[in-house]
Amino acid sequence: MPVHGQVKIRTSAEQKAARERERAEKLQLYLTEYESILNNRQLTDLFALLKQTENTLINHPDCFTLWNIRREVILKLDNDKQKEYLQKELQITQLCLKSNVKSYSCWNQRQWCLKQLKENFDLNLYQNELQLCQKFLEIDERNFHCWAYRYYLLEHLCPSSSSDIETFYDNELTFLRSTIGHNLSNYSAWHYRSKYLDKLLEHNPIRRSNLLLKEWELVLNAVYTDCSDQAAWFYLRWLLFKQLGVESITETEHIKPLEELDEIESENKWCMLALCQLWKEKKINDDKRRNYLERLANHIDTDRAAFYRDQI
Amino acid sequence: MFEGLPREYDVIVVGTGMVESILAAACARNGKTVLHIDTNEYYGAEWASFSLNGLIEWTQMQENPKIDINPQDDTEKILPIGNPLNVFRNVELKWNIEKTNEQTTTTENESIKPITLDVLEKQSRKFNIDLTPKLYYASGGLIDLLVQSNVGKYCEFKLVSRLLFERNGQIDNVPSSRADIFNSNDISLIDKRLLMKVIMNCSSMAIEDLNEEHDIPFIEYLKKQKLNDTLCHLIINSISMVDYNASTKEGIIKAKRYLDSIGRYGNSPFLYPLYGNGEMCQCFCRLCAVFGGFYFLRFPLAGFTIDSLNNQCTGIVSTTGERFRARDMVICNNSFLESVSSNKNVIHRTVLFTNKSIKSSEKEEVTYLRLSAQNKTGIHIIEVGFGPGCAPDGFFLLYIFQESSSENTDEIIEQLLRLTGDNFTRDNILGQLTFDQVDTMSTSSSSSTLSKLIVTHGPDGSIDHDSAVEAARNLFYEIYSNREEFLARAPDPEDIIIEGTDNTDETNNTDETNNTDETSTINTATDDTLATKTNTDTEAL
Repeated sequence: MPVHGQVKIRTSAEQKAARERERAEKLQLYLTEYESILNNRQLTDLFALLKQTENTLINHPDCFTLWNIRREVILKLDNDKQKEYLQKELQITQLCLKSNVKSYSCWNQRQWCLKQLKENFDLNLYQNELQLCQKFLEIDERNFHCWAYRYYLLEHLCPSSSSDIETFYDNELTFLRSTIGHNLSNYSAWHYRSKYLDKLLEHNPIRRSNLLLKEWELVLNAVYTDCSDQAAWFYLRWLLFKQLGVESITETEHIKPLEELDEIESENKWCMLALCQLWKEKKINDDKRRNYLERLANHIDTDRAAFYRDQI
Repeated sequence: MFEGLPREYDVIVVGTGMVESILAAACARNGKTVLHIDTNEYYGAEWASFSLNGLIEWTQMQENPKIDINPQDDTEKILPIGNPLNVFRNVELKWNIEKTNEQTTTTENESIKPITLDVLEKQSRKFNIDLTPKLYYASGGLIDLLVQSNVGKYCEFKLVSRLLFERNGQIDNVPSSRADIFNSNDISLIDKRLLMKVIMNCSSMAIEDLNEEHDIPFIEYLKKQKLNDTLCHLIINSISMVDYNASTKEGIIKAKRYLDSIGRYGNSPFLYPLYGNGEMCQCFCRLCAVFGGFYFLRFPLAGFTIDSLNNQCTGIVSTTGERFRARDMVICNNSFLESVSSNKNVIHRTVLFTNKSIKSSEKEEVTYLRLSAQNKTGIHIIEVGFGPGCAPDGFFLLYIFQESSSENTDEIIEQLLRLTGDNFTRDNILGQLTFDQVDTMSTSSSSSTLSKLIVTHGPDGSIDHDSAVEAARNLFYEIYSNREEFLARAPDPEDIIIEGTDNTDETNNTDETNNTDETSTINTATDDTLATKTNTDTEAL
């Protein structure tokens, strides 16, 4: 222990009190700033307003009104200034996103900036944004804001020539496959996979049976690996009923593997539900279907009893 | 030599191995005055890490002449120490490369000059070679202790990124997480489900759930879950890491530990310290010094002083006759007592210096391969390279050891070479160090015939440190009874207030270490092997 002066260590009660003090100070500061901004809103010194709102937003990125005010101000600027400030805006939102990666208003602001800049479409800009998305996804691969933003970017980056489009879609599907490979609970990844699969099939219907076969293998792999993960099951049902269509569903290829899974995992509600829906569409195993639905309603998933009974 | 060094302490600790260092830190943390010494000129004792030149020197270690000390009066007896380096036997270092390239006049083909020893020696400091290589379970005793005590801020780790096992005459990646199993092309759908089921069961089972149906051997239990031979081997060898005759209880508990550790810092359950395992002892010594412990390396130790009236150990005596007194206890490593030489249990350790990884990869990996079979004990193989700062770029260290030695080193290397095929051959082995390490765990007892002398043991043949941490904890409670806290968390700087100043961000006392001689320092400024961050590959501790 040191020789100079007495050393005291804060107790947890004191730590708590210190934290409370800090929070109260922060709140006070925010309220003062906020009031001041609202008062200044109608004044002509636009740049000062931008500065003020910027300072506040960096600490409190979720304040819708402040972002609104910024949009108002930027639109009032003339064209060259506007472009410059839109670029700056992107940097500011990036700073704010650091403190809250899931801020609705930040992502919204970014998208608004890109929309404003769209007249001078800059490939580099969009590529940079894509890189940024990549970084954010590395931090949290299930950040749905980031996914939605990425989707928006890809819409604009989509090439126009027919041959390029297919490669573009294929690349995206490969990326989604590897994301799912890291974590098959990634609902966003499965969701966007369904979107891109749709697009690809629309663009090139010849590949349909091949692609759908591969998809079926993929999703079957997923539900066998983790039969309680709902993301995979939702995708499975979409694939069967919305993509393949009832006529293309066969007993050997589709129903049997699920029945086998059901044998190993007899109380799995997802598997049972999927089977009930399949049996219904194919008009087979009606007794078994009713039995399963009863069991689901009465024992296995009683919270959703009415849902199951409706299907009987 | 001992000017300025106090002669009386609460605790004197002899040996800077893992158990002793944890104990020294725990005592100092609780306000005891501690003198921590080692007869070596390096920290870590049996757990130390060396540069290449340091290791070569160590293999040529000299025995210090014994000096007899006479008791100073009738009430005193002297217990002389043995040579602590006697725990190492049959130390052999062989090189398969030339010492140096002759200065020939040839100008052709500079690039295919074979590597020579002097080239390696020039890069000596880039090597950090462990005498006792170990891995750290992410949710295991030592990592928890590092986090709880905040000693973790003194060290950095890398994730053991690649786990391998033997399958069909080759070495493959171990699929143990959900993502691994999902992405594997070698397991059928049904097998994936069965494997996941067993894994989830092991993870979620509590000790209380184990009942009579678990009294069967683990391998039978796994077969009952309908797993095929390959998957049974996977779980026994690479997830539970037990021998084939292990009980179900043991298998499940160990599987649980493995599975609980996945995901804490990344997709692997193990960490490996940057710059080698020797760092760990130094981290605990550092904490001890921060709380006022005194350090003295290359201490000229002759023996222990004993009060002959009540057979109590009272302290230590140097070869020059200076005595240092311990009020509460003397803690000393087994290796200093003469009895070690009679011990028969040994761990055979091997370090191979290689210029290629046993399995190629696009990026830097820290690899762990466990080999086992029916009626054989597990063989641990750890490969480290440039990534964790243990070898220069392009070179690797391959550590090989067994839980309890039943196999011959050459046979093990043969087995490994058969598995690696053309990818890694004998030509890639540049040098080989082999030695036997006496397993002092089986002979240690916390109480010797003397009171107030606590004897600690050295490392065992397991892959982790749990036995060392447990031993340290138990010994601490023995000395100070359960009322004292074992390695409480050190306070964060913001929470320390120095009275007499208003200012609440005074720094704490990390800069105050108590040095005596030039020969004993733990000063952070000089030693470039001490890191001060807590970043692992993916997350902070």
